[in-house]
Amino acid sequence: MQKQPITPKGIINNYGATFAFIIAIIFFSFASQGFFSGQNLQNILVQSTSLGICAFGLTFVLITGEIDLSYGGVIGLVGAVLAGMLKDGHSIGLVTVVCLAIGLGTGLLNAILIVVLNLPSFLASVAVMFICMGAERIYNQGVTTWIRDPSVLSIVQGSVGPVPLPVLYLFALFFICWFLQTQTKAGQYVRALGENISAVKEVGIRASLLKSGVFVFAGLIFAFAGYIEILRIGGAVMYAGSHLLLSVLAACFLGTATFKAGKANFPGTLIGAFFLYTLLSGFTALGMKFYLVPFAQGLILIISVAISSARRGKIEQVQF
Amino acid sequence: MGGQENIVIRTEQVSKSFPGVRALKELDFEVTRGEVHALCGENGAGKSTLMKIIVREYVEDEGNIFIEGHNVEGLGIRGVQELGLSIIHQELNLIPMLTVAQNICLGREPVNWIGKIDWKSMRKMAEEFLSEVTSEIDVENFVENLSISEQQLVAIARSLVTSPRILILDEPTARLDQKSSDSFFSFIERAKQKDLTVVYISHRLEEIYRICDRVTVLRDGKKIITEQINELPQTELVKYMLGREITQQVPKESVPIGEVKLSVKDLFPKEKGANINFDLKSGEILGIVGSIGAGKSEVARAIFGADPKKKGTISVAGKEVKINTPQDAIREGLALIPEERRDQGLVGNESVRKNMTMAALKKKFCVGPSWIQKDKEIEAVETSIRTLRIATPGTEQEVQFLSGGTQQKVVVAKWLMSDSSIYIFDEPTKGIDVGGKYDIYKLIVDLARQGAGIIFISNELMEVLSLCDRVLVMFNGQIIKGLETVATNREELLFYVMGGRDYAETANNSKGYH
Amino acid sequence: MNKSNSNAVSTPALANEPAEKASRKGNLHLIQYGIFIIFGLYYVIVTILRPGFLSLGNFYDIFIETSIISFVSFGEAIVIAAGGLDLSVGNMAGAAAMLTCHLMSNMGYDIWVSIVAGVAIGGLIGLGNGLMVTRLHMNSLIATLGTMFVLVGFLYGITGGVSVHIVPENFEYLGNGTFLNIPIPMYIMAVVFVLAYLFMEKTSYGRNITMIGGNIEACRLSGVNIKKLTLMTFVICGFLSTFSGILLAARQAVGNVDLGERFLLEGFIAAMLGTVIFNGKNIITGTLLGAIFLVSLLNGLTLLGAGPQWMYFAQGALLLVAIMANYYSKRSMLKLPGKK
Repeated sequence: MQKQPITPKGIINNYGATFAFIIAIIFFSFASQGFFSGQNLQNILVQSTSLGICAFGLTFVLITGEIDLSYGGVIGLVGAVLAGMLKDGHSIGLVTVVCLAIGLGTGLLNAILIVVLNLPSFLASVAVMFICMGAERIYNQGVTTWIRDPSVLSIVQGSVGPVPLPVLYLFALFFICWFLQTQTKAGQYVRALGENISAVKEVGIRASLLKSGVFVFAGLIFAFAGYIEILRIGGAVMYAGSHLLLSVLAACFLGTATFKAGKANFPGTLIGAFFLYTLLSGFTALGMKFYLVPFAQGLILIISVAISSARRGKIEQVQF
Repeated sequence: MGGQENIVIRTEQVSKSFPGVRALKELDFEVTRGEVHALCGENGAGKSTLMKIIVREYVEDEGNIFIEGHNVEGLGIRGVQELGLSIIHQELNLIPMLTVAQNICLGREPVNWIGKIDWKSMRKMAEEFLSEVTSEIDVENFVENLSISEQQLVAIARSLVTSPRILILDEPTARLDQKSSDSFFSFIERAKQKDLTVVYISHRLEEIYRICDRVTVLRDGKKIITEQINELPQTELVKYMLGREITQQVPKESVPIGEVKLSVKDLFPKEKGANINFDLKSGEILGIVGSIGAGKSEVARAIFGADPKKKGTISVAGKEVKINTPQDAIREGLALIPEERRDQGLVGNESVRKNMTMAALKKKFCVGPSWIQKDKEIEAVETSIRTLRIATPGTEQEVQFLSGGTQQKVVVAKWLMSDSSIYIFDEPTKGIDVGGKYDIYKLIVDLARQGAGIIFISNELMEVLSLCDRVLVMFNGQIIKGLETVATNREELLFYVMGGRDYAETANNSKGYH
Repeated sequence: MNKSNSNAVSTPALANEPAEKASRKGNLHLIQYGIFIIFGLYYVIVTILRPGFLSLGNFYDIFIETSIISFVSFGEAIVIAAGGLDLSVGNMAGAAAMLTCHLMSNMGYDIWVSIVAGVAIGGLIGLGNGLMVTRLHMNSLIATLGTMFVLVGFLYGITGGVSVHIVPENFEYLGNGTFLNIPIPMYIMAVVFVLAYLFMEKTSYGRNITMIGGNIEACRLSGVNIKKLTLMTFVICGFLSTFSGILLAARQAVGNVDLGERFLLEGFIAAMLGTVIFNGKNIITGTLLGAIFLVSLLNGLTLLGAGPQWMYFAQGALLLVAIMANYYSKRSMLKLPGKK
């Protein structure tokens, strides 16, 4: 039996962000009254839902060793279509289907560009992001559309007992993703694929198909995140996705420093998402200026990634 | 020997060519049920090609292959697996982030009705297969936490998942430490009793004689002999592998040997660590031989500062120097011609000129702090192209479009420009055609004549014997023998490369066999 | 599986197939010329539909815009040349612009002192980026993404998010003034272009930076100081980004916090095009052309009456074209006989 020896360095590598998270909660609880109230914690949860959901999609892609930033555009596009179609009087059922179809379509586009045409995923998905942003702008003419139908809004703004619906969605999706990735064959292969693609091919698994599937699935999740985000806000503001662009990435990378050192994973991403909003909320509760939040977020991102990269011992180049 | 039904692998007149080489020539090869069959031959003899054809990674040009009596024509990798064949490659292909159990069961995970992996039965399954090989490894541990040696055992266990009746092992012990080797050998013993057939590719005499029943020797893509192992003395086996002497093709000339240029003391490379000591004199060509995984490149890279070393002192011209990075090494006049010239020696999409002047750019071709004098540069490069007879259309040709031999000359030219005096050649003739090889030998002899000290690492014994003055044999990370090339021969060298001990005595004893 | 296709599985590194190599070189040229042809056609179409495209006034517009984004593009191109990527360029530009305006207008410092401070802050941030990449071995994408966040906070921190509207006339002159009928930004661009070109093409630094991007391990084993040079690329990029930011602030006569945001995408597209145009060689000239292409594309679209929504489309498409061209020209180099 050879478990990894427990060293301080090992702990920081593996659980550094988790500790930072706990310390942050304790710190804010003492520093500001009302931070540790049920209401506030619930707010943190609700606010982090769309970010968290979106980050699950990205986590899936990161596990395959690729990256997908198209959500920066997909969320906005889904939002614009959602609000626009509702305003035109379409039923929420149809609108939901169309929104998910958008996710499916962009996911497929990513899969074609990245898996079939073999383009580098970072750049290809950024291009898809801009295409989506353009489409959004063309669709809504740059106008913010509000959603006023309470029955529609209740999809996201309602709650089951004391639990707000978005939180329910977040945890349900977390469970689904976590289950798919860690408990099923396909999920195992997705992880294996990101680690050593030739090993996966050697045992006869169809790696390209699997990778394409991941991009499509991620596209669906992004669309769902957009759907939740817009309904939570109650209207489609311009480029809703680009506001989430960095936070989602940060949540995922925080996640890599949370449980499995240097590797994207779902529990880590979930905690990463909470962590980002805890900071936001905590800083606000302390009366700090809002601009300190991105500052802190950036520092946390840098520190968490630095911890997991320092042992690499080699300059990492970007592949175009 | 039993009848036809006892032949599990049979190849009939199999031939295979790659552009420029005939890898296999009308090869007949048979393996009978329940035996451990060793496959021996020098590098390039065709062992791996043959095995890859049998497992259908390659397809033969001509001939037939039968596994368990079935013609494998038209079968894929999965198809022959279903016939009961399993191969363990030299590359491990494990997934570090997954556990041992997940790796062993990859592609064959047991699942329940909703598609959830049944961890309990997977664990049991993995334990079952792993226990065939070793009892020292926890199946729940992550592969990244295992030593290379343990990973190799896991890879072997994984190959058992398909319940093979024939197992092909390609140099499995190159990565195993002593303890793991023992459990591996007892696995082979047990497998034999269960009528498992093993084809065993190895470069290690001791092992071949310890576990194998029969041996087939390949040379130049042809079968030389198949023999019961206990009827073939070790020295005879080595002779069969080598065949007749090839005519001298190396432009050898005697060069006066001078003072000690480089002295390596107590060097421990980080990987494959063992105590390395040797001296290199000016004008001397010192060969280092050893099979794959013996640690030759590791020594070269540690001397050059390309990889960190655990400890050790290096002296150049009698003065102790500190070499932690390639920059330090270059300052002391060292030059490394790395094994992977495309990945480590050249910038493929840049010109011959820029590649040649890379190491000496600042020192010789710049005025002021860093202003490049292009005229001077072009002149020097043109001179090099002429004197080394580099076959390039011009100084601006991108090196990726040159042939392997020409590329290698560009790498050497780079070091000539930076006035190096100690050259470490790591497999410089690998993948280079005959004419290109000759040119490189000539270049090396020229360097020696000009008083450079040369370390020549190679897998090809013939070239080492004809080119070098002295040769060091490495095995398992250690230098186990130092020989004067005039006083040795290929048989003796290969004997030591394969981990043999005391050649003279073994050779004498073997005379009693016949 | 039939026997004839088996050779494709793996071929030893023996073959030297000139015909195949020649056709690959042909493909390379196709990609490079393709970009020129596409833009040439585009110009012709725009000119036919909107003759004003060819007017001197429009040329000035295009070149002033080009000047402003050229600096950040040069910087990004140099980072890309060494195998990195800097996502914080826009924010470095913004930080420099805000700091300069703040010092000048709110604190009353001399305009040159303010500009020097603005440029210095860019170099400092670039140094931080470079250290993260070379010392902490962070992926440059993520390291500079973190910097981006930090800078957003920093920008709001020093200004409280309030734009600086009143800037000294001398400062405004930098962006809007002319000398001998030629706009000032074009002079600055010309000087920086020449310096950057000389640096990349004529000095050992530039040479080695390009070599590192080609094969970092070969460079390390040849004694090239890969850490120092990689660090240098980020510092240069930091410096150059500030030029774009400060000039844009001067041109708009206002410093606001999100001023630099557009530079990330624009700089990246121009640098990517610049890398492709001469097949990885002469990237500074290539980048200048890339910047002109980008600006004229958007300018032409505006003349054609396309709304801002089409700009995203156009930029996304151009980005896709650039990366595809880059990828395929690189792949045709890498996929040589003997290398799987």
